[in-house]
Amino acid sequence: MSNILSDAMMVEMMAKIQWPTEVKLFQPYEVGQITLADYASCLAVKTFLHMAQVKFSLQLRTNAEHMSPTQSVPFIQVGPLTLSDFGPIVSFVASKGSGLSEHLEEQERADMKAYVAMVTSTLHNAELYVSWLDKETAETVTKERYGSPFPWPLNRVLPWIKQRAVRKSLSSIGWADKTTDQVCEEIRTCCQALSEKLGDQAYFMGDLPTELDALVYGHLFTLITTHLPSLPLSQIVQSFPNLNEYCRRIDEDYFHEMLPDS
Amino acid sequence: MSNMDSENEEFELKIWKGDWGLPSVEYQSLTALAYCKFSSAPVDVIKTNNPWNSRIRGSKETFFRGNLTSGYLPVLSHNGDTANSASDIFDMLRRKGWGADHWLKAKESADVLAFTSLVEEKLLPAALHLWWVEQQTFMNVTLPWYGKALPFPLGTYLPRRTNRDCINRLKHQCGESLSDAMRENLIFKDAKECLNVLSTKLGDNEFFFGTRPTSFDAIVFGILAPLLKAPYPNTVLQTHLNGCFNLCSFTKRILDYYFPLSPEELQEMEKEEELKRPADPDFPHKKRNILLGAVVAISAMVSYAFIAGIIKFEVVNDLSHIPITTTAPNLTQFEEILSQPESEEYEEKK
Repeated sequence: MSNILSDAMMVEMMAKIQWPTEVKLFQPYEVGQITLADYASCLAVKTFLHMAQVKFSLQLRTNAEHMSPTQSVPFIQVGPLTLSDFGPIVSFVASKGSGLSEHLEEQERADMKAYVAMVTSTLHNAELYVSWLDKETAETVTKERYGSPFPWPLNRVLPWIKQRAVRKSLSSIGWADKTTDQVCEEIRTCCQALSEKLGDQAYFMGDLPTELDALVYGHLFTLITTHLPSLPLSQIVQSFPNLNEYCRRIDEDYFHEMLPDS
Repeated sequence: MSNMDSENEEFELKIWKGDWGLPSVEYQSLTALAYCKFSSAPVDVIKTNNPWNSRIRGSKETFFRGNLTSGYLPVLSHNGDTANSASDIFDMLRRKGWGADHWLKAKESADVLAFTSLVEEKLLPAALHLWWVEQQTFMNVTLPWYGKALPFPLGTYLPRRTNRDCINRLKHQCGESLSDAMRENLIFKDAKECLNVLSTKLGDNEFFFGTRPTSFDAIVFGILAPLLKAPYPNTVLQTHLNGCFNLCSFTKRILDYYFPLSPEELQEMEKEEELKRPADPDFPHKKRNILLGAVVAISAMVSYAFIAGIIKFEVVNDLSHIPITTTAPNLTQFEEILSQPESEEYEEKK
């Protein structure tokens, strides 16, 4: 019963919000704090908002994760509403008429949803695995960054708690038992499928960008530009020339930055 | 051993047994079975229900870490090579040249991968929730079924562990911070949306990627068939699925074409139904009850009539009063009798 009530309240609140309005996007600091998986999610949401031409102000907070209603970054604040994660943010923007997939046929939209699910389930889990369960990366990079804003005992305890939570959650879908090589293979298979789907088109669903493009760009750009001590993640993505070119083009179009030569 | 010998040997597939007209009740077993049928691999199917015998020796997934949805069954073995879980079984069959997807174009293979992720992300959680997490189903259907199917000590322990594992898995997929009711809501909402997407994707096609079945058809069939056939108390998703006509007929088509019931199974089903009929709570002894009702009603009416005096029984001892002759009395005699007292009275008054 409370569900129906809270759903109805959400819908009413969404409907009341004047559009366009001020949107605030909260995320952790990018330079010293953010982890691989969070960086990819934040970049995907930012790209989506850019593509949908929604103006937003970036709010950097060291405790963004703990401010979020679902304990995951990024989240946006629109009037009285806070929304986190890619899916809910996309459907909110679409409900305001600024969505990116209105022009698609039903069949194409079905395809798009399938690819969105594939990118989320494969690349997001792979990033979590790489940053928290790959021993060398976790110890030398992730834990240090994650704990950096906190004073002494907390900077040891919080990363440890987070690592345990990630391990538990990945083991529930069988990913914790995978080896690093198997995870790299998953990433390669996913990239292979994306590369086939993209072909030589400008965007995944034709000439116009959709949320799938924002999501794919967020994850692939992160993988390309992150240099981890032990893993050849960027080489995996770069072995697909069309994906590499695609990331470079979106970066130029929406962020006016050049990929660092690697 | 020469290569030719090994190719001639049959695969051996161990699965959970079936019920409710399904070849197996568990989705991975159904998926593996369907894939074997699609690829027409020579498979010897063994319906075993004992995870102790069917676990893979030396595999990382030991007996104490698996649960009833993963780790034990299905198992495909061939020449000492074993594979556990539906996706590993696909891989193994593909390696041995019995793949069902080899005819797909590269782009379609990518679609297969994407849609498989979609189903695993959006639809499978609902199937797991219905079968393993929802309290009513778990207590009334799942526990008794596995209690009967599993050998004694395991039946009391493994289903509960699987219940716990599934809850963890759903928490991972929906986020830890949601309450149970909100999570259930989200799972069913996603699943309905996924069914709509699948229905669009299938359209009027015979199978999802044209006229030939693929591994994706096997996966969808594995999840949809129990949804159509199993007796879930919660019918939210079943109702929605029944609204997607093409998905229903897709599932029924595969069931009828690839898994026709053998005469023995049909007989068994009929026998079961007959056994169930006396336990039918509505009208088990219809004729007897009508008869009893009629008897009670009639006796009540008769006794009321008797007590109220509508019917009287007179006990007459004088045998001479009982008329022996049945001939009607002469009218003239009556007239005489009637006139006599009148005349007497008349005379007395005089």
